[in-house]
Formats: sequence, structure tokens, C-alpha cells
Amino acid sequence: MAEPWEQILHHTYAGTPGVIADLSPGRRAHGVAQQISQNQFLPDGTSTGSGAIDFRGGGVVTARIPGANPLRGMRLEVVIAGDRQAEGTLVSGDDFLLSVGTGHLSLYLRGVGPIPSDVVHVAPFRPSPDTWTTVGFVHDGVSTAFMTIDGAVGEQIDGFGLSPLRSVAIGNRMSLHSAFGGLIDDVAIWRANPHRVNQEFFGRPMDESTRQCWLDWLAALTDFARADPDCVAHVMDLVRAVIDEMLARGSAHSDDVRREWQVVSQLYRSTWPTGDLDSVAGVLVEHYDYLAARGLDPMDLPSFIALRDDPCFQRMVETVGAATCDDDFTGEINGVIAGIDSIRNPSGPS
Amino acid sequence: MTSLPLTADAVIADAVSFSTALIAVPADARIVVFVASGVTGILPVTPDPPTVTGLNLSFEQLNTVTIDGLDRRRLTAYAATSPVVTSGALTISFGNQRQDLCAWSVIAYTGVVTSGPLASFIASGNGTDLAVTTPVTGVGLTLVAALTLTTSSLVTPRGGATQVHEVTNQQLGNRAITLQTEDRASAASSMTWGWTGNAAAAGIAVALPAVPSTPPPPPLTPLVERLALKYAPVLHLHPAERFVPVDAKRYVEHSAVWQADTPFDTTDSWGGTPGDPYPRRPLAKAGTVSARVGEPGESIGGTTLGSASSEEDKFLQFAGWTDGAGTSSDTVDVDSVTTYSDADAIASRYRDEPALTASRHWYHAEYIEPDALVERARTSDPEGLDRVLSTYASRPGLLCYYLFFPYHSESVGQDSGGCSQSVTAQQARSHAGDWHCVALLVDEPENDPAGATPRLIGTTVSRLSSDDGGIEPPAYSSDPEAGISMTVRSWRPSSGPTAGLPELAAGHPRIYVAAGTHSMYVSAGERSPLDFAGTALCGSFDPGEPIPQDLIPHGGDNPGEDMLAFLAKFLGGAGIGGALGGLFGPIGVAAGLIAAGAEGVLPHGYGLDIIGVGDVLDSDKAPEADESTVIAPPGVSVSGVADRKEWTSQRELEIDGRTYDFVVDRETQTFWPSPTQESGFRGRWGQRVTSDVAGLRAGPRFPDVVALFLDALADGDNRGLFPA
Repeated sequence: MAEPWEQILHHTYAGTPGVIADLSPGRRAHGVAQQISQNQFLPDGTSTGSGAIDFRGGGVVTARIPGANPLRGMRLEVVIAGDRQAEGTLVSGDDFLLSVGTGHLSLYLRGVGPIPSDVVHVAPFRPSPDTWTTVGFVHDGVSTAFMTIDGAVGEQIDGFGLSPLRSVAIGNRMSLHSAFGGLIDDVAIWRANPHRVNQEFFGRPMDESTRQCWLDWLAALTDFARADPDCVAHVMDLVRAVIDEMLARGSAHSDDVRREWQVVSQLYRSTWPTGDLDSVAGVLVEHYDYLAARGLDPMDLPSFIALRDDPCFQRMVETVGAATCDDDFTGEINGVIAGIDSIRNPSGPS
Repeated sequence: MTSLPLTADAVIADAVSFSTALIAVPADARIVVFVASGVTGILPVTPDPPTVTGLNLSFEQLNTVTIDGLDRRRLTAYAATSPVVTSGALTISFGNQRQDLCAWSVIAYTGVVTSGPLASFIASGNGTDLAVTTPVTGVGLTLVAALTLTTSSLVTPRGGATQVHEVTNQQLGNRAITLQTEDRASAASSMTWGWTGNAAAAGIAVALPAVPSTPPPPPLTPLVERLALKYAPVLHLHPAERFVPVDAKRYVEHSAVWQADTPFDTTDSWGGTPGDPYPRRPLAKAGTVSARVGEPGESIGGTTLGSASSEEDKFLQFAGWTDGAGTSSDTVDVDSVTTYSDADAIASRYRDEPALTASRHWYHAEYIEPDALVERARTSDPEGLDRVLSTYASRPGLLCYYLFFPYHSESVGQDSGGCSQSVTAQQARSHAGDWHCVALLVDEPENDPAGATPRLIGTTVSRLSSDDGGIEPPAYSSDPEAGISMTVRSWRPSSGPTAGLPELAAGHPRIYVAAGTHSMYVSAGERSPLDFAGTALCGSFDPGEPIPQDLIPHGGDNPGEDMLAFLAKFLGGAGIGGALGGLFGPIGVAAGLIAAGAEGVLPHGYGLDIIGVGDVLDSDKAPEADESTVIAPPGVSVSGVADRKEWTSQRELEIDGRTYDFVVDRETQTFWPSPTQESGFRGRWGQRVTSDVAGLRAGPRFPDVVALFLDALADGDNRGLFPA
């Protein structure tokens, strides 16, 4: 099973003063110090030699984060210290702002997706001059964010999508008018591993003929995409929209539904790599039943109907179709179809 | 020698002194003046030799000769040295003795000795010719000579001499004077002249030795060569090791070059396009490739053979393929096995072919000089990386030893025994071709470059491990395409887990090479890897997408890299449901949706466990010193080892019209990628194999070692990993 998170930025502020290396595996989000003197780079932070920046002298660290989008989830952690009145910007992105002040940790999100909106949430918090605190947030990429303080959830925010991330400013706003009145030792940002779904879907045991089956299917898809790239892009937008709407509605419905999605995902993801696709089908059918029973039938979603009736999607179905030479995959889908049909038509096959 | 005729004249006058025309004399010149004269009177006496003055120079009389008889004459030679450029006229003075005939010739010579005595010789006689014997020899000798006649005659130089001046004059009473000068730029037994009609004659020859040519200094050994020889590593090889570093150029010359298109791990994409007939053929057969400018064959660094992109790659094939169960193929046909690179075939070639056997125990060396290295750091991220460099060395240069092994062997699940009988596990990450590097960051004193002192040492590894048994790797940077990570450590620090390392043998760092993987360590012994293998189920399959993700065109931020799997589900559901007819089509779409949703939910840290199904890498088995075979520089002995070989690396080694050189020259040695990656060979140094989605068993590319070292430097600096 693939790692769910991929670190895309990690600054420690140790080493040669003023040189801010990105220590994340990709090493593409190096920092640039602006209006920060050498004296503000402290050799010690959470530990001897760990480095820190004293933002009480002003300035900002900026970093571009190339290739991070689309974000299917994001996690940010920043390690800070300061006196109890310290306030200001900790980290700001294109569409979020994590800050402290007036006894609170504040998270501003500019939402996107099915329910676009702006929101500011706060959690009670004051920095400490004596201990380092790790604050941040996790966003599931669909609709829910959790503000965290030393690993504990300080506040839960529902119903807000996640905007693209291209750059961050650390310790201040880009405009330099909101310097954090304290110290920052460490900043790390993760995104949901964008390869996870593909890796898990194709990363199951398959023999060479099955693999060749998928290569042929992908060749057909590629040919179609090269002939009509706009159609493929349009269908991808529709697919993404219906997945997001289904998950967002479930998340907004109740904590129970959200937890159920997590459980199903866990079952699905742990079963799929074993090749036991009958069990996979059973899990999915049960979950469909669970959703339908709560008024969340995915087939009733407007975005589902838009996809189902889209002529471009229908043309792709006719031209590319299914990878029916993969018996396991076909069996799984047939199992799910039969299961859903029996739920929707308990009196018999439709 | 350069001869510069300055002035000459023959004058009829009744005077005690004569002035020449204005002359300009070059610097560092020897000026030779010949004066011929006759005294006034019906019964003339023998003329006195004159004095020559002017130009603030001191003219020394070299020799003089007279013509006796009724018409007495004198010929005298003078010389002076002009250290600087000067100009003016010369005065020829005879004291109180009046002369009615006077002739002179003034010549400047450069490129001859300007101090010390000059040999001179005289002769006189009557007739139609004269020879002045010149018993003197010497390399670059110049002979200059003058002849005077009592008649006005046309004089012809003989014996290969060249005339400089000839002047003549005649009185009304038929008394005449002729002065001719000639020279030659080599020794001769005599200086000779001829003329028509009998005449009394006298001659003087002067020998001008050439400026002794200072022997050219012996050619200075290039700095890269001196440094490379000074710090050439001592490699400790494991007793189980099958391969040693070889000359990469000879490997190239003995390899075929193939083109492969995406997807790269199917023979349909090799040497043609899907549907082309088999057997497939390489772009260039083995033995037809040129790896150096001017050598025969198609250039490995040209666009045809050397280029590579995400959709079109090149690879070298040095030996054939195998299925790991005893079947091998040298060709790519419909029934060929192409599962793994054939290690046995590679080993056989190096054992049985003399040209290849002689190419073993070879390293390549390159020195990135301080200016170039600092500039590279200045233009690299993070900002200020050049300042990081200067933290560790005042004039940092990077000395790189490139080590090419013809095969890389890396297994999974063997240490644990869980996959001990599995061929797929034994071959899980093995491939032809394997690049490694030992790099030294040296502090190069400006006044003594050869006195460079190492500050940091970089070594490449195939998998990361900790120096202290913990979970943190040393400073590192990885290059997945080369299959290596560069690790950087302080040079012999006084503290920390690598205190005192690397060990030295006569100043050469001792490097311990792990069996098969060729990971390079500064100390002996096994290491447990920190990485995952990237394979699963004993190497029987590689998790990952079957084709590159960017194959499907899309732009900007949308639709995301995970859409391939989602599309498979939606199209699969709709297609399968549609085939069932009726409402099953939409239900099929819903089936795809629900499956995509289950997969698309992001597992966060509040309830989901991450279940690993991957294989575990085997340990890196660097040898103990006493069991190892060392490869050492000539003359460097290492005690307490099992066996010893010597590096055979040479400069300008000529074999069958081709040149082999351990000093890297990216201009002429076309198998190296150019620094800008715009030319040179950028493909893979071992063949592609089938069923290799992630390229784990394909040959590696040559790494950008400078970029790796600088990136690892930034990592170590930020993590405080470089103790003094």
C-alpha cells in the first residue's frame, strides 16, 4: 500500500545562516530569506544546532512549491516559540493563512469546489516562551480540515475544499506587514501522494497477460486522448467533480458517514493489493447500500447525472470501453453492478 | 637570427672622418661595421684603422687586414651591442690621416649573442676570388663577412652566402674602391667571393653565435592528473564480488546501441515500433561506435545515438539477456528471453576477451576547478549555496573519481530467507552497467594547486543506510535515473560516527565496496538499508503504473496524476454495465464511482493503518579489510588484505588507433554527457529488460555528480552533519 503523504517542503533553518535548503525528498522548495539579517538566524532551536529564525526582527521566508497541484490533501506543521503575546503570520499560502494572536491559532481558508467559500476558524492557543509547540492543519482534499496543536485536533472545519498551492510565505505575509513576534524552528508541508491511487490500482499482483491487457487499454485511451484531448480533459473534470461531490456530501452529512468512508477506504485498500476482488466488490456494494440508506445515493448526484449523460463520456465508453480482458477487474465490476442493482431493484434484476 | 642592413656607402673625399647616414638600431642587437679605406697621396702609406663612434655605443675593433703594395688599403671590422632602440649616425675617424677612399657597411643582427668576444678571420690576395677560412661551428651560427677590392668590380657571393651590401666608387685617376658584405645563417668552412678582372682583395669574416636556446621546460603535468594520482582511492572489494571497475570507453566500444520508445519494458518498443517484424535490430552494432572525436565509427555522443527523452530512450547492450533459469538470448526475436541482463555473459567477455580483460581496474577522474564549482553553486538552489561551499573550503574544487562496473547485482528477501529460492528476488534490482563515484571537496591553495587539502568526501551508494546504526542517513542526494545516492561526510573528522575516516594508505582514501551493489563506504562491514525495495512478493512485480503517467495529455493543474485509475473504473463500469444492456450502463458508472470514491478517500492519521506489502532490501555487504581484495595505486601497499591489484588507468594509452585516457575530457570523449546535457551519451549504460515497469532492472544513466554533491552539501549543512 502506497504512502498516503508526500513531503513537499521541509525547512529547518539550520546550517549556514541565510541559506535555506528544502530537505523534503524532492528538494524543490528551497527558501529565500528577505529582509532577515544574519543575526536573526539562531544556531539553536528545539535542540542544539537545530536552527531557528527570530522573526521579531521582521522579514519573511518565501518558497515556491513547483508541481504540487492538484492537491488532493495537504498537511502543514510549523514549530514555534514566543512569549504569550506573540502574534502574527506563521505560514501563508495562495489561499490559506495560519496565524496566531489574541489567544488563538487562526486558520483562514479560501474554499473551492462544490461549496466555495471563505472561512476563518480559531482554536484557543498561546505560544510559550519556554517550550516549542507544533501547530498546523490537515486538509483531506475534499471538504474537511483539522487544525492541530502538538498533534491533537484543536478544531475541525467541514465543507471547504482545498485551493491550489504554488508558494508560501513563512513568518510574515508577502507584504511584510504581519511579522510573527516569535521564533520558528521548523516548517514542513505534505501533499496527498498523487501517485497513490494509480500505484494502488495497478500495484496488485497481475500476470503478464493481465498487464498486457491494461497496456492495450491504455494504448486505446491514449489514442483517443491524442485525437480529442479536449474531450478527455472535459471528462476528467466531470469525473473529478462527481467524486468530490460524493465525498463532500458524505462528509457534510455527519461524522458517521465520514468515518464510514474511512473504514471502507481502509478495507478496500487493504484488500485490493491481495487480488481478492470478490471481497472488494462486496465491500463496495455494502457501502453503496449504506449511502443510499442515508439519502446519499451517488446516482442521484447532479454531477453523476451530468457525467452519465455527457456525450463525450459516452463516446469514450464506446471507443475505449472497459479492460474486459482483465478477468478479476471485470468480475469485481460485475459484482458491484449486480449488488447495486439488487439494492435498487429488490424484486429482481432490472 | 634576423639580419637588418642599416647603411652602406663608398665615398671619394679627402677627409679625416666620415659620417654615415642616420640609422635606427633595434634593441638587443649586435651591430657589425666594416670599414674599407685608402690614404690620400701619390705614394700612399698603409692606412691606419679608424675609430667608429656614435649612438652612445662602444664599438670594438674585431679584426683588420691590409692590402699591401702600391695601392695600400685597409679593411677593419667593428662590433657594438645596442641594448635598446637607438638612432643617429656613426662617425668614422682616422685621426690626422686623411683618406681619399672610404667605404662602410653597417648591419644589425638580433637573435645572436650580444656580449662576449666574437671570432673573426681574415684573408687577402690578388686575383678574381677570395676565401676567408672560418674554422668555427655552432648551432644557429651566423657568419657575416666583408670583401674590399682595389677596383670597381661586381662581386658575387659564393658558397651559399647572401649579399647584404655592395658599394663601389672610383676616382678620376682610375683609383677605385669596392666594399661588399654578405652573410649566411649557418656555419661554413669559408666565406668566399668572386669577381671579374684581377684585383687586390682583402676580406674579414665574423662569427656571430646564436642566442643559446633555453631548453623548453618539461611539459607541466596537468593539475587534474596530479591531483587524481595523489588521491586515487584504494578500493576494498568483497570476496564475493564478480566485477571490478573497467574503462567505460572500451565498454561502449564493445556495446550495441539500441533505441527504445515508451513503454520501455517491452520488446515491441525496442529497435522499431509495435508491429514491426522481428528480429529487432540496434541502431549501431557493437564495434561500430566512436567514443572519441576523430576515431572511426558513429559518434556515441551524437543526436542519433546519444540523445534521450521521456518518450525515446537509448541503451547500451554489452551482452545478452537471460530468464535467470538457464536460457539466454543475444538477439531480440519473438522467442527471445529478455527478462534480465545476463551477468554470466558479461563476466565471460571480461574474462575471455583480451581487449576487455586489459580494460579492468580503471578509474576516470575529473577535476571541477574552484571558479567553475563556485559558479555552479552560485547558480544552483538553494540561494547562497556558494556561501555554504566557502564554509568548508576557501577555494573549493571538486575532484571526482568515476568508477564503472559492468554489472550491478541487488537482491531482496535473501537475508531474511523469505525469498531464498526465488530467481525474481535474486534479480529484483539487478542490471547491466553501474556508475559510482568517489568525490573529494578540496581546498586548493592559489599558489600551490597541487597542495590541495580534502575537506569533505562524497561516495555513492545504491541504498541509504545510517552511519551510527540509527535511522538518519548521512548527508545525501539521490538520482533515481542513475540508481544511486551521493553521501557526503567530513574528511577524517575528529568526532562523530565517521571520526578519523576515511582511513588512508599513503595518503589515499580507503573505500569499502559492497558486494554486487558497489555502494561505496568509508568503513568496513554490513549496513542495513533505510529504503524500501520498491518491489513486492519476492520481486515478482513492481508496484507502479504500467505506463508513464504523462502519456495521457493534459495541461496545467488538471486533471491530476491519479486520474488514470479513476478513468479505468468509470470507463470500465460504464463499458461493462453497458454491455449488459438497459439500466446496467448507468449502474456500471455508479460502480466505477463508488470504487473510485473508496480509493480516492485520503487516509489521514486518525484511524487508517498503512499496510506494507513490499519486499525488504538485503543488507549492503561491504567487506572487512582482511577478506578484501584491494585495487590500489601503483606503489601503494596495503597490509592485512587478502589480495592486491593495481589501477591500470593511464594517460593517452594508444591501442589499435584508439586512445584511452583516465582524465575526463567532455569535449573529445563523447561518451560523457556534456555539462549542459545537450550532447554526449545521455542514454542508459545497460540494456532494458521486459516486465520492468519502474525501470529497476534497466541500466542507469550517468549521474550529474556535481549537482548531487552540491545538493548533499546543502542537506548536510542544514542538518549539521559536517563536524570538523
